[in-house]
Amino acid sequence: MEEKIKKELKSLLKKCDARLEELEAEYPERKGFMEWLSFSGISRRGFLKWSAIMSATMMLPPVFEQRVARAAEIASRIPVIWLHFAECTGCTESLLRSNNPGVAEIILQYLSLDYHDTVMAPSGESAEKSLKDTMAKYKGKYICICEGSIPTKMDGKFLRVGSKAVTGLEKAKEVTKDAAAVISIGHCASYGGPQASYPNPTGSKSINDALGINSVIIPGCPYNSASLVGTILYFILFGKIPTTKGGRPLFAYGKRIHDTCPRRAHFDAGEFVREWGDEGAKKGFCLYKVGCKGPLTYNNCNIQGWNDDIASPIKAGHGCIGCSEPAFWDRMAPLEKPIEARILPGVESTADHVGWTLIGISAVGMGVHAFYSYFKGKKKGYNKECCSEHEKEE
Amino acid sequence: MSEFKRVYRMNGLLRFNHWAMFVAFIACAVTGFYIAHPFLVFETGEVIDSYVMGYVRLIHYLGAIVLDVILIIWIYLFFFGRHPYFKFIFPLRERGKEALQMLKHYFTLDMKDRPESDEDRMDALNAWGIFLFIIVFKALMLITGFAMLSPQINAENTAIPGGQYVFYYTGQIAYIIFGNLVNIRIAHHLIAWLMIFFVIIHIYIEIWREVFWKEGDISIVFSGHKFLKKK
Repeated sequence: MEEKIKKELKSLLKKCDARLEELEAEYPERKGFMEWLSFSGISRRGFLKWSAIMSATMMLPPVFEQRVARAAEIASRIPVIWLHFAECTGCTESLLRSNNPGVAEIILQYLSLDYHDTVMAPSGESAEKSLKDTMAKYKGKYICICEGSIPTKMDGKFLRVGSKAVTGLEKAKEVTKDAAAVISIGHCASYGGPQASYPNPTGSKSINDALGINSVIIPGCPYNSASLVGTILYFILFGKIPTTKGGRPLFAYGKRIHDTCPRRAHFDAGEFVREWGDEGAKKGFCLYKVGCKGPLTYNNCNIQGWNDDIASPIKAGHGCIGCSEPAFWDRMAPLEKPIEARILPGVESTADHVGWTLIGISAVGMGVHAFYSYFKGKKKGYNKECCSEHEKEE
Repeated sequence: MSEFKRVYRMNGLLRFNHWAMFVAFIACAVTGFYIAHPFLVFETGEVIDSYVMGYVRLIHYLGAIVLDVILIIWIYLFFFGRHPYFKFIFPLRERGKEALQMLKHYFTLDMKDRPESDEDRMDALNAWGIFLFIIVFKALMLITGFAMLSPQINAENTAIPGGQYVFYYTGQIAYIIFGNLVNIRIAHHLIAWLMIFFVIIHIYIEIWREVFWKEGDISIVFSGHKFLKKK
């Protein structure tokens, strides 16, 4: 068994090395990556540490550490077009405003971002020109990262972008056509987001649904930058990404929040926060009673947090709201109560209300039936045939 | 005095099945409501002092194991059991007619409407109830429960080799029926309420029979026998 695994690993490493060399030859070298890192306060040692953390995040064995470092260097060469659609730009903000940027954030900032609506220097016509140039120059080579959902009603007229006011739908179709890979980040691009929740007046859809493509999705509100960098590195290392059933990368979305939770011991002990600011909240008890949706959500917040692994919602003291699950705005609400408090569509009340109503109906029905049987039975001389002798005795 | 004969209705195994389900169902219902709404909150601050939710979930799972094993045995007996009893619980067409007649009897109180009941045979309405409760509801509870438990089950913590695949693929059936984990969670809760509703009706009908038929129906589940008037 062990030898078989070793053999497999060897062939995998060989493939991986061949792929890395191929990619290094394909994309022109870009000097200054290490200088940029040291300028941002990351030493070489820190970078290698980060490679080790990243390979652990991607659930790869330690042999991959140096290859991950190599892949990170290649990642800085790949041209990226970053598109924004109907969204709050929170995903970009979460990346740019990180207080203490880690290597993942720096790599994302250093990525050859040839077109990024929020951070690029050119505007208007020249911005459009840089997009056209990149698309022509790196045809079939660039990675397209999509952020935000695409309104589809009225031919997508709810969303117009740029100086020529093209609709989001047209732009997305044009750019994703020639991309080497499409990655949808954030809940909006992955599942439609709050604007796609009921009743969805603009007909907003996720990137995959609107364009009919099969991109890798990295849901979350905002997404975790470690997951995005991990996905890019995985793509560079192996060419394809193992995904869960819904298309999410398996390394990041394979485990449930509840099962990796730092407060899990308090759940098992029956220690819960009852309301915000009470004794339990101060002691860091389980947030299940104030609406943590961890038992229903798959993500890696507890393994690799935001802001250089300092924070995640549960560490900060608020329960999970299930932002990496499809249509969480509709399904997980109310966000600060347990899932039983959900108003069920159709009956417009909670599951417990439905249950108590059933019990009430049965109680009333049984009472009425019992009285009915008593009086009807009396009137009819019930059981006269059956127990006539018995009655005679009386 | 009219002559009564003592008829045999439930054999020992069926009575055992009934009481095992009684205990397991109550355990599952109480612990299930605790898991949904943890009404007892402990604030010792030291997790080593209490393991309340852990024990509650353990009891829930032990009850669920009893109910699931009973379900699997019933399904097995339904297909391979030689006794006509197990085929009888399936709601076929003629049984449907008989069940409706029984339902009519509950409202007209007319003994003529009451289907003929002899030894070793319950009425069709009862059989329908058993089918709904034991097969349909419990099967739905099993697949939704497995779907919720499957993320925690891996090769290291299953007693049966390959158990994680059993959990995973059974859970996938629930995903096909209910779509997503939230709906599965809500469905598990709603079906629990339906089962409680069902149990209440069941208890009422048994008492009603005892009072209005005067045939000692409640003792069936204790001694296996009831009394029928000789004809």
